[in-house]
Amino acid sequence: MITLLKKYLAGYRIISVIGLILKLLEAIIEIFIPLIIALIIDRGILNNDFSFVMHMGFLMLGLYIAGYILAVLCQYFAAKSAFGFSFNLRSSLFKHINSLPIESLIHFKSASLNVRLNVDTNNTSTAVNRFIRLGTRAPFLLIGALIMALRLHPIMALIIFVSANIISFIVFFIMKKAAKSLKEINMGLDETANEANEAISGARIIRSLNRQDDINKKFESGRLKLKRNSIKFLNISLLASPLSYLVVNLVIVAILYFGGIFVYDGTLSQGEIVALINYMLQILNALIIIAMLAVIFNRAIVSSKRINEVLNCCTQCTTHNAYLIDSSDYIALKNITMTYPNHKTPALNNISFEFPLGKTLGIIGATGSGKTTLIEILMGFYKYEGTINMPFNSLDIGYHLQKNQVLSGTIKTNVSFGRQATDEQIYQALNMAKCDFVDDLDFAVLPHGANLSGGQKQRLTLARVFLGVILNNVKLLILDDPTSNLDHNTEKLVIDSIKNIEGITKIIISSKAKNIMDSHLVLVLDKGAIAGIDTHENLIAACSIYSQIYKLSGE
Amino acid sequence: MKKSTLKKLLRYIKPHSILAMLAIIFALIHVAALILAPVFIGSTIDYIIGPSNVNLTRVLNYCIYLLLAIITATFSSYLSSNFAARLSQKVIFALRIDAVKAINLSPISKIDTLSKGELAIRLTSDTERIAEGLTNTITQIFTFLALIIGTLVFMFRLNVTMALVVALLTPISVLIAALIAFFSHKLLLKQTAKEGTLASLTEEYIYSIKSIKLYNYQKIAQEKFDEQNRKIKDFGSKAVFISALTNPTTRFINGLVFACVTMVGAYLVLSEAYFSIGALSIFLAYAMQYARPFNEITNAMTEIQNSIVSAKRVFEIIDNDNAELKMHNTKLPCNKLIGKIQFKNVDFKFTDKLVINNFCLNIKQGQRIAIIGKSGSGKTTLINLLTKFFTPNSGHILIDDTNIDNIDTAILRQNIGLILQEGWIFKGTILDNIAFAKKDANKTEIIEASKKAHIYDFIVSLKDGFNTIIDHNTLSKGQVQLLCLARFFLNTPPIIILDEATSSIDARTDFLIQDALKNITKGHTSIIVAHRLETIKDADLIIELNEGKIIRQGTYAQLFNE
Repeated sequence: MITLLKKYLAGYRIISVIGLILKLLEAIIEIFIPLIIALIIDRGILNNDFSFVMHMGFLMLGLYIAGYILAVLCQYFAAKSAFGFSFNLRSSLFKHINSLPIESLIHFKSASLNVRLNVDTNNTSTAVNRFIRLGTRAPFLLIGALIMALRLHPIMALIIFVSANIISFIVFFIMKKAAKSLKEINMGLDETANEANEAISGARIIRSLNRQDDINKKFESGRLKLKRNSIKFLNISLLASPLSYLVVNLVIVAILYFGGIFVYDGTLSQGEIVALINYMLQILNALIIIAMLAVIFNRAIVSSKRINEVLNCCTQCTTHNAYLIDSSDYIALKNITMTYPNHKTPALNNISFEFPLGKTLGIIGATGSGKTTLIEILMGFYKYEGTINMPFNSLDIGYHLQKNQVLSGTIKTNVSFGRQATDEQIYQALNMAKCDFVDDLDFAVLPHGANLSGGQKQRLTLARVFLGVILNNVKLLILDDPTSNLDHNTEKLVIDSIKNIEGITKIIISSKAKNIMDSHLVLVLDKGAIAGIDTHENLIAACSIYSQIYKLSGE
Repeated sequence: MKKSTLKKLLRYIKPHSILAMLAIIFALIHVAALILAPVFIGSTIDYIIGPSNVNLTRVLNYCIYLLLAIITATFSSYLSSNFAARLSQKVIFALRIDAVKAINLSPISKIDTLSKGELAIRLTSDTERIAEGLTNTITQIFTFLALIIGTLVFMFRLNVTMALVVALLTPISVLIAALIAFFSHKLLLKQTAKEGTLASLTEEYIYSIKSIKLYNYQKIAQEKFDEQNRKIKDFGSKAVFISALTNPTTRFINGLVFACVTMVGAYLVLSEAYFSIGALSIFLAYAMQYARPFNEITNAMTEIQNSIVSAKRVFEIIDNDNAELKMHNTKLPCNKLIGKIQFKNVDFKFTDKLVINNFCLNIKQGQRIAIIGKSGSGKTTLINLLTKFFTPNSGHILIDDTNIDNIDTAILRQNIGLILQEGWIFKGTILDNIAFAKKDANKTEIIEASKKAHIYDFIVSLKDGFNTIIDHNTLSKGQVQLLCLARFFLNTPPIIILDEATSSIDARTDFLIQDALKNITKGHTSIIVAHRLETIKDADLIIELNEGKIIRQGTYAQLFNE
């Protein structure tokens, strides 16, 4: 938390400190009020001095007004600093996430990164806000009230001090107990949402298997657990406020009873008893605020740890695996092996091949045979064993991903994707990808391309890759199953477009043999290993897996 | 509308009315004790006047009364809030269960329109809000009203002038607090809306991060991110500042009331013999106590309003006017169907568009029928009609010469094996997911089924094998389809419907699976929807649909080798 504050409160440090000081001044004012009331009673009323009462009364009013102005200013500075802080923090965190290697992104999981960017940053900013507003006031009120009480009567102050400790012990004990069940409750809520969603998405299958009652029962038993946890949580957490009330009021009884004796002895006055009671109430308020702050800080500390995990991850590493880049005229992989976390068997097993530049390589194989993994290793997304000779850097590569990534914006922004291109060039790219559905480059595209069909999204992202070819930036084209969502006719047209691109190296993955059989070389993968790498004709004769795939997709 | 929501909610509270009564009774006891405590404090102070002028026996007596009041207040407040919280938890438990039951009963056409994110919110934060609202209504609203009235009564009995000062000045702070809440609420809404925009933007960017990296799009992404980020800063700091004014402002006004009470009180003590310093301290305590319920009642009211809105949203799911009809088996002698299917002049409209148009088809027992056609031609709708997910607008569907309206829905579905393009798995182990098709399946059967579906090798390559917990995020589309096939191999009914069941599986695995399917479905009536012509080559009959009508039919040779 402190490291985050040091870095991201920059520019708001002065106003945060001013905010803290203002709040302190307000607290000082607040602490004098009960004293004034005691004076009014003891000196004003008992001496029959009404003008003194009026003086003190107006002093009280004046102090209230001054306190109010200070408090308002402080709230303003606190809000400014907190949101300035969260702006800086979020912006840097987003920047850092964008610079992380793919492997770390997978490690963090995208949903979790989102929570860190949106929820965790908010938690830390709330803590900053509350700290400026209450961080000085509450402890000061607490200590101040104690000192004032001490000044009035040391024995009374001791009673108050002990009871304050008892209250804080009760509150913290309850909080600690409650936090544990709170975690279980949150998990229960996540499960509730998940199971309800499963009931929707599985409605047809659940019904066709007549398992509705079992789904209901499973849901019920899960919710029963949630209910029990919630009641357990409430049983404990609801204790806090009545117990604090009890302790405070027991102290008030003690103040009254012993106070009576002390007044009888002449060591205390009637007005001072009223003041002591007021200080006790002030202490209770301060303790409630401190307990609340503790909750907020606790959450902020957890959040800041989660943020720091991301910020401290890979500050040194570059996006790409450092593969051998030399100026040779071939791509070569030597003994490449790669295993995903949580898997026993490698996704790629001892892959070696060489491939001359300027030619086309087709990759084919079953679901899960390692096609995409091989490409992503070439792109430097994952760590691997073995060596790769790759004469291109990532900016020379035009890569079409298997999963279509369409952003909200327009057709134009999705094709150009930050590159400078004329409308004519964009139309040319759209044409190559057979995007016959586009009439208007400024057509609004919803998040994730929700208003486009799967086939449309695939062609749009292909147009994005082709634009790189048109702009002459691309020296290596990698297409991962670029026509999986297209119907037969469109598929043929798009494959023709790809074939017509000349003079650059191409790597094309497909599950259909007809799309890649014209390649100079076809690589057949089977369970992460090479089953064959040769021309189409030779593979038909020599590679049974390939000839089988070919036969099956032949029409 | 609001009234009926409240009525519906009351139905859920009714079974627990004893808890509700107890909560309210203890709440009232709590209030009584809360009002009495300052009175005892004041009376005690009045017996402590000065040196050698303290009535210690009286002080002790009042201290004991005070002690009793405090203990009563403590216990009654805990009991009342505890009973109320228990009640609320029981109510939302029932609400959640009923919601999922309703989902499992409601027609598929309604389920298709439900958004998952929405449902999740309704069953979590909305129901939690209902619980909070209920607890608050029971414990706070009554308490606060009683507290305000009780305090007023006591104050007026003690001294009318002082009572007027407190009673009239305090509501000002409430008014101002409400005014601030009104403005800050608007700004807070804007802030949360912006936070929502930023969250969906980051979700989108992180999902597409590979593309962002590939095209060096980071700079533009950062600009767009910061644009929204800055808006949050601007709206947020304003909203938080304005809502943060509530506390100092109410404190300020309460302070003013405090000062006024002190001055007027001092004046009264000096001028009127019957107003004591003890009475003044009572008023000071009341001034504080009287302000609190006003401030909190406004909070509680907004909370209650929010919870009514939430309840309305939850009841939208629970209320089912046309729950799926359960027709009872009237004519069928046994639970096992043979698999003869007839469509007779079936029409089906979807939002006023005729998607199935006077459709007629006879399928003999054991026949393999393939349906082809463009997307939107009505293929899946036919399947939804046959499985009674949709009801035809006119015409009849007969199975084994019985109108399906007269066949118990559960029995009908028991006899149909359905595999859909959108495979479904739930969060749980692979074992449980496959066994979902057959409750009493043993491990050997499950392994056998997974081998037939060609997913066995993948399963054993995982560290936890069949006990691996899976969900939609951890498997590819093809793997999900394979798991659903395994489920199907475990339990194969007489009628089989495959709707693009292998669309995400590669050609070779598909070929192997088709082989297994052919073996296992021999003698079963099957209906297959597929894009891949290879899969339907040996169908007994292929029909091509367009706009809900058959435009061509025949065998593969007749249709494709003309």
